[in-house]
Amino acid sequence: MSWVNAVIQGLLLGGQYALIACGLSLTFGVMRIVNLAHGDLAVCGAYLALVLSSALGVPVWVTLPLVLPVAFAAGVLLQVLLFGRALRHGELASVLVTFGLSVMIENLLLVKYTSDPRGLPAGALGLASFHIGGQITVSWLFLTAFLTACAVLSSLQLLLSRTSWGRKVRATADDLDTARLVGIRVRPVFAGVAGIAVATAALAGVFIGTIGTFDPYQGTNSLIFAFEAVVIGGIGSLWGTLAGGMALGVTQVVVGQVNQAYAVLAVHLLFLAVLAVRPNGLFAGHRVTREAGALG
Amino acid sequence: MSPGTALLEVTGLDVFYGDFQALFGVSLAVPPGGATALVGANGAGKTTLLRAIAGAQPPAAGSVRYDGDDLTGAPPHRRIARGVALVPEGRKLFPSLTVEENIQVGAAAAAASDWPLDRIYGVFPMLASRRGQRAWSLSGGEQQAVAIARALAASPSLLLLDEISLGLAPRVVGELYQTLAGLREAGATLVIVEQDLRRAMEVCDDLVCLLEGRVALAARVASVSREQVVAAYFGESSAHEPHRPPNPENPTRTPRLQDPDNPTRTPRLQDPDNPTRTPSPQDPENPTGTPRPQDPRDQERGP
Repeated sequence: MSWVNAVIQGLLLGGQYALIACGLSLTFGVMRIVNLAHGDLAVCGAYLALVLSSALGVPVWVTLPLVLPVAFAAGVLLQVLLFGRALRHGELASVLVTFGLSVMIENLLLVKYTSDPRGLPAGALGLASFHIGGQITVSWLFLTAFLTACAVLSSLQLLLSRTSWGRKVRATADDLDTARLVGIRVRPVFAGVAGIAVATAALAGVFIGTIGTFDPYQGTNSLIFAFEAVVIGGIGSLWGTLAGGMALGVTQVVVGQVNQAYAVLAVHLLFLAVLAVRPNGLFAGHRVTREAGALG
Repeated sequence: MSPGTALLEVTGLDVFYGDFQALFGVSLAVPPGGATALVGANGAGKTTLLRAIAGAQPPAAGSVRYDGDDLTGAPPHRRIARGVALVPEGRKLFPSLTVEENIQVGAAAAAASDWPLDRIYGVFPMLASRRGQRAWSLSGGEQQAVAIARALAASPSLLLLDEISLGLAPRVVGELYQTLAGLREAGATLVIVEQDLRRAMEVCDDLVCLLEGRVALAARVASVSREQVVAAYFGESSAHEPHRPPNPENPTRTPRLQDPDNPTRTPRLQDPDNPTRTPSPQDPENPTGTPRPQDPRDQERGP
């Protein structure tokens, strides 16, 4: 029964990984940017929620209607001012730019908020839980994070597959040059995708902050897990990212059940194994070419 | 025809890929309602010229005027809004989109909706039953039909078609050209890049032959012989002067001779009737028939 519990806890944890990873998956799938500052942007979201909730004296959840639009705007600005320009100089330039951004964010946060670990008060939700059978206890907070991740990924999937905007995003992800040629205005598409990516990162950051603690360097750690979820799931596929996150979460908790010391190592080994055996990801679609950036 | 009555007017266009110059002062004028064939050997600059007209390749010099407006610096979406749509070489469909989505994406920048889906399916009935399939699962001819349908969705008045018969069976090519004839009757103006010289001269009213990035011949189809076009195609200079058709109304259509100062720029000896046949062994630069590295289409996929 404890194994069933471990799997359930692992799946719930995987939802959190998927939530932070979906933005990374989107930016890579559409813009071909590996955003190394993605985790740091998530941590910025957590700090923003912390500052707003203490300044306004409201629970963390109430700040979300402010945090998410700010994060969206930040993503749009970053794309227009920074990533878009970097992309014109090739993919390597964009990696260097996001790496620089990551270092800057971490150090600015360090100067402003010190390296003390912080936590976001989750209120009553933080401690509430319910039982399944006799031995399985599910935290409402973990379940909320998991359901939020599923809702966000499903909404993104619907947005991409059912709307004319999503059609443009997928066409642009398939073939940038031809997308321009058939009249798609690529820059607004990119800006929108970047805004969504940073907004989902900020949302993930708020969950990271309420479930555990965060400090200015938390972003790098989150980035590694997000990156692994994206690669395991298959680059550019949102459902793959969700599955990849769950694979990571289940591995971490199940191995941790045996020996806590190897839990995180096992996650990285799983990542390496997938990379060696199926470099396109476990859930990559029918095509293996670069065009396969099928966000579906 | 005076320059003012041309629907599309390209003047002195220079296009570079990095250090490589693909077009040298290319000029052409396309009258409204007509069909212009753009012919020339591989690497002569046909695709580059169409891409420059569509806005995908910014020119270093020269101008593109359309229906009275200067569109030289306009991005593709603005040109599409004005009615210029390109069917790119190699179809370039979006693989993760369905047939219908590929067509719908073509309407992204359209100013009008002259071509709603049901009208497009009326022209290409075979696509209606496949609308939900991924575009890559279709046959070559069907894929080409999707590419044309995608351009039609932009409600174009000028349709640029780049080698739509590439790799297709003759019967399928015949069907596609029948469709094009229908589009002309509906009022569209066509610029067609076609390797099959006979078909190009059959279908089109005007013909422009490019040689090494320059206009080698520009004439009414009715006023030139096949031999003259073939001569221009291969850059046989003896053919130029005596056969150049008089075209006093349009001084911008000056045929250009091959650069005599640069004898290394040998034209490729490819039979225009049979582009699939490997080049004759006289071509010292390309004995295997593979595209030469300076083929601009190899460089278009750069960053």
